[in-house]
Amino acid sequence: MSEKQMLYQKRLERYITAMDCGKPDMVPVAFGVGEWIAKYTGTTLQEIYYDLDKSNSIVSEMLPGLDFDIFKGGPSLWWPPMFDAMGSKLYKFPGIGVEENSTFQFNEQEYMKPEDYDEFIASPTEWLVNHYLPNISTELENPGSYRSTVALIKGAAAFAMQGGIMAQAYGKWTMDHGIVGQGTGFTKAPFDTLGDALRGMKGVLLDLRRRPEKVLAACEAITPHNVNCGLAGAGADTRFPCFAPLHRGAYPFLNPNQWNNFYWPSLKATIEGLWARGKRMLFYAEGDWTPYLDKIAELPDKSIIFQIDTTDAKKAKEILGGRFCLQGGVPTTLLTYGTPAKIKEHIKRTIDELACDGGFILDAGGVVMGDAKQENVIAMIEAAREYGVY
Amino acid sequence: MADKEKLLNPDPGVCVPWEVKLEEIGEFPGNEAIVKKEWEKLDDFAYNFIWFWAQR
Amino acid sequence: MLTDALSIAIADLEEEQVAGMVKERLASGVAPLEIVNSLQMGMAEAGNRFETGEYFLGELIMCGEIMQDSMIVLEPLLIGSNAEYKGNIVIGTVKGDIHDLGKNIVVMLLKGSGYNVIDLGVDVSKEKFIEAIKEYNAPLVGMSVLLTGCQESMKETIDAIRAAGLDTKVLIGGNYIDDLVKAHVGADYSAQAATDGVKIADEIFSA
Repeated sequence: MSEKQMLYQKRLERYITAMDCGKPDMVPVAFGVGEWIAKYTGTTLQEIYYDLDKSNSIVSEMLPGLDFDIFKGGPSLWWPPMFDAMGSKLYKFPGIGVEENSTFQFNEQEYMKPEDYDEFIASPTEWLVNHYLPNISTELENPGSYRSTVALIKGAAAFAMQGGIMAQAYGKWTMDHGIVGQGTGFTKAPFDTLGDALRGMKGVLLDLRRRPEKVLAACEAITPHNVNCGLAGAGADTRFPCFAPLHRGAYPFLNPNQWNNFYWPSLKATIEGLWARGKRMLFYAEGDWTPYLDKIAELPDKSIIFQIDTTDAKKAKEILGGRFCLQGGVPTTLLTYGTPAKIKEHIKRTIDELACDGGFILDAGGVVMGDAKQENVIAMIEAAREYGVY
Repeated sequence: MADKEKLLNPDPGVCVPWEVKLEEIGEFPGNEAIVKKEWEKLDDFAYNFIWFWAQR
Repeated sequence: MLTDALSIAIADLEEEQVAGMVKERLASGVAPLEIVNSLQMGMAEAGNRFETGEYFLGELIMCGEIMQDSMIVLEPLLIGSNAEYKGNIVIGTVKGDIHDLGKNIVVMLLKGSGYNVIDLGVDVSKEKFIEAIKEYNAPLVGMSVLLTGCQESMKETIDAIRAAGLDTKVLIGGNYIDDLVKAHVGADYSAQAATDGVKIADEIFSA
């Protein structure tokens, strides 16, 4: 076994032990290269988004100097050429729609109308193809037309190409640097699938009052699909969790009645469906989830990794600790406005408070964007090693 | 546009079920399992592509 | 306590009742401005309910929707009437950010509390902020940002406002806004909850 392979095994074991709420040799550290990298590499954000080879080679250059365990991915979340090919209305990307160094933005609209509920519920996948894709893609405005057919060919090809390029990059990072990827598969809370992309936030909130039974039926119809999306195909790698960014369940969007009856049951069913197949969810609780910790504690033991963003970390530890692995501990704003010294001090305290008996992964709380300082991100990793040995 | 009478309502991971295709093919002289396996692989790819846009 | 049936209806989010009452009152000759006042009182009550934990953001958004629907009917009829405002407030989402949900809720609550809100929309340049502050002589400017990556643009805007010699109070708000951010960008106030905006405005305008 090569040195890098051994390193990989060691880190993998650290990660898996923590996920199972155990105490590894040291606190595993998760790390992602964010958009902040652009300003240190003399590239525009547009280049990083558009040129996958470039963005992957930036990551390859960074990795050798950094000792962390779990890799959360490179600087760009999406590959815009695929969206361009489809004429997607969903995002504005750097250099197209917004300035070349501005981050991407979501263009939220009611892509699904109130009168679409019944057809969607009757056959979600078919409705997506027949109505949603044409609604979100200017190139697909006339299904069956020349432009539309070409766009679908290009879009699907781009999807496959990107998948291949990224799989190759991860393979290389594993071989060369002993890197363990955080997860495989991507899913959401069914209510968020409905509320983020389909009805939009305002739309779904209004639906809760005007047509609550449709919202429930739609969430129910989405649930088995979201289980499938999390598994990411038949040959799912169940060692790693699927990533699930959770939005509208954060406090104080929904009232307790709405949360209990509309948000939670289908999310819980999705998590239980995944767990029945041995797949865990990285419960990426963006924002504050403190009031819901007791409900979350009802999930099967170890079925999630709970990401702490602005949730009360001590309460999370108290209520979920021991039964679920916790991830986070470093406020995102600290990486922007803090100093390496402040970060070290914070991490020492965090590890004392949250990592003590294991089941903890050190990570930034939320998505680290373009404003983070590299020296702070690196200080975070170094401090984790300094104070993180059990 | 979809004919409302003939919704397939495919399961998760499926766009056009193999059973539907098989019925249309009718006579099957070769090894069905070989064809089915590859059909379902590509069907799953298409499914992931479609749902990708809904899980943005 | 609310006594006006229209105020109660909007505070309780009874959209159909509100639409019906607005129509009835207009038909019976009630001044459009008076109707708007009733609606605003109800909206302020919805804000109070948020404050006490009875209402959540979902309810506030719903209330804003009902108000907006009513204003489609009422606004054209308001021209020429003299509304009395507590003061002028300029507000916008800073350059680089196109999120407007948080801002819209704050605008709605400020309007409901009787302020004249000049809403500049999203992706607002520093020049536009300065121009509007000058034009309306606004003692308070509100800036909203969701994306942490756009907080720098907030700082630039505030720097530019100060450089232009304006001593307008600056209130910032957004999901990732905290005291660290407030100190860094040089704002006077920061708001975490939707109703903080009204409290801060009341503090400034009553001084």
